Amino acid sequence: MSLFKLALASLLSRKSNALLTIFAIAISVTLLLGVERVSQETRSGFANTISGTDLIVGARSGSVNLLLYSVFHIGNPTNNISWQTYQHWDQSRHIAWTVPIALGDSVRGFPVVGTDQRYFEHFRYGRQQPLQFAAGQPFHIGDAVIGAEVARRLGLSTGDDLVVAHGTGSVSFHEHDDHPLVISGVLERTGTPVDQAVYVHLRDLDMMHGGHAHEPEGDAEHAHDHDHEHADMPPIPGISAFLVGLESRPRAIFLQRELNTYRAEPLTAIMPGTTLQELWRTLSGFERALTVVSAFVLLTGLIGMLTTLLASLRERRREMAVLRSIGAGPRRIFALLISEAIALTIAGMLLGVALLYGLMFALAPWIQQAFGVVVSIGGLTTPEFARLGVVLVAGFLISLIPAWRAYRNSLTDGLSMRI
Amino acid sequence: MTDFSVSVRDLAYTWRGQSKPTLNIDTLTIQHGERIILRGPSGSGKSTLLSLLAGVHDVQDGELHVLGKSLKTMSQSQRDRYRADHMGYIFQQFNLLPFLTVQQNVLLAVEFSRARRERLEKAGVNASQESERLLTSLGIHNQLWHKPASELSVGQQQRVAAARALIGAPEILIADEPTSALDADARDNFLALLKEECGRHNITLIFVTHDASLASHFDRIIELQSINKVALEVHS
Repeated sequence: MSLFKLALASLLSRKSNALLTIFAIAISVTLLLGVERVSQETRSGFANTISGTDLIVGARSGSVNLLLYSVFHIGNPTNNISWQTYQHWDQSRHIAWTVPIALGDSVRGFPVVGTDQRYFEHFRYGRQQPLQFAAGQPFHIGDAVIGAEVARRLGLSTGDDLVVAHGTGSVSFHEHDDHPLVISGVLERTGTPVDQAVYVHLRDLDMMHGGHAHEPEGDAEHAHDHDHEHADMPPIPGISAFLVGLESRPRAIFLQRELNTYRAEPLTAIMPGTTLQELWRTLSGFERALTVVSAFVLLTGLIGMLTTLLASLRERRREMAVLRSIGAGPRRIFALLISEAIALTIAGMLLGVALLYGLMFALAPWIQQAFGVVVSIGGLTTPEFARLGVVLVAGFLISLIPAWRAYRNSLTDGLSMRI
Repeated sequence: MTDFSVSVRDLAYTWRGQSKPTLNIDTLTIQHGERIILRGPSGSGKSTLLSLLAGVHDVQDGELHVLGKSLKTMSQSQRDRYRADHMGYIFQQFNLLPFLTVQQNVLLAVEFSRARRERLEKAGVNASQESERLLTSLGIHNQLWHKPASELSVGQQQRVAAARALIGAPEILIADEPTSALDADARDNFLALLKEECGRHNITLIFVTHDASLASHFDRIIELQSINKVALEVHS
């Protein structure tokens, strides 16, 4: 029987203490890795959400707020931009394209984005990937396009009817059921908030809210045919935000200033990348705080192990004397205690990693639902291994204390069994 | 010197933090294969002498030879190995690791000592066979071999401890009041088995006891009081 096996057998005889110690270490390991993992995953998830858009413009508000509601559909726009202002900038020099976005409604908890065909043309995510249709095609007036997750969770496909509710709650008492839409297309999965949204035409959105309701709707043919001819007649009085693509990227900073100082209406223009950075700066303080907290939790776990091992030494003096009597030297006793602590630490680490993966599998759907960000569950990364290494080293260092104590005890006690 | 199993000359030991020695013996010799009782009241330096014999503590003054080798010149780890190889030790009680099985407890002594392994090899038996033979001859039924040691009675535990001390035939067996927790029947039975096993391999038996009725089983009684000069001073 090797020393390590002996240590294990001894630990097993003190099962409840050992299990509690392992659990304490496991929880701290889960926290320590989880903080790192969640922040990395959200970071890359968020960074992949939008690309190719040079500026996002909304009514005057905080830049992070604008980014959150326009791209992630988190929170609400503070104010609208008038259609006239939007038109002004749409036709401005240097601007290659714009995409209008109007928010505020929902379909059973999924946000409704009022926009037009340009969304499918210009929106890019990840590495400049355009939106693809899994089925169907972009909407015309009276249609809706749904994201992959909406289709999956609501069990909808092309040709189905859709009723939009007022407000963004999952339960709404005011449904626009006088204006049902037909699903014209389902988008390919992107792993971004796009999957969680329903896309409708601005004009439909307006009609749901009573705009142009007095107009005879006429036949659908008429609406389709003249879709583009109403340019002078706004499809909707105001929009929440618009995405801007420039002819030359370096101009973004100048145009941003122009937009921010526009006199006719107070606007906020942001560069998505910069604002994401800003968001991370806000979050990184939080992340650091969490890391510090989890480091302390680890320390608590290890002190728990220290306490358990030290307390066990008192009741194990007989065990030590027996080992001494059959020839175990003080160094062997020292190594035995170290082995025990290492076994506890490693078991704690393994359980901690298992807990981490369990949590990720459990939480990934929730994160996707809440933030539209897909958490990919991969193997352990190098920084995570580094953190595990720190745990192991810390466990080893802590174990030196009881090991040294046992070493001293076995020297002074010798073969006498002081109880 | 090599004639003796144990030989002591002018051995003195002072515990740390004490001004006077606990033990001070001019001469003491024990022959190979001799069965002796070591007797003395508490405070007579008995456990100090046992610790020194077992090589747990340094020899400070004088000479202590065990099987012809001076323990004084050995390092702590050399003495630990020497004890593992050449001495069996039985405590008053709690000899076994409760979380190991009976047989694992016995085999532990072999795993800690290469010399014991080699002796078994030379005799042409493997360790687990020998442990089974010893357990059987000490009256431990094979149904108990794979039970946790904690499930045994005190008497059974002492016999398992004897099996562990004896496996691989060490030259010396030190038993520190091994029968004090046993009733008279169990004690006589234990002693008979111990004597028999020691006789097989000519093992020197150093047996600590207060029980005068056991004297007939032994070659000689050493009264520690009469050889420890420190004790003499105290008691005279």
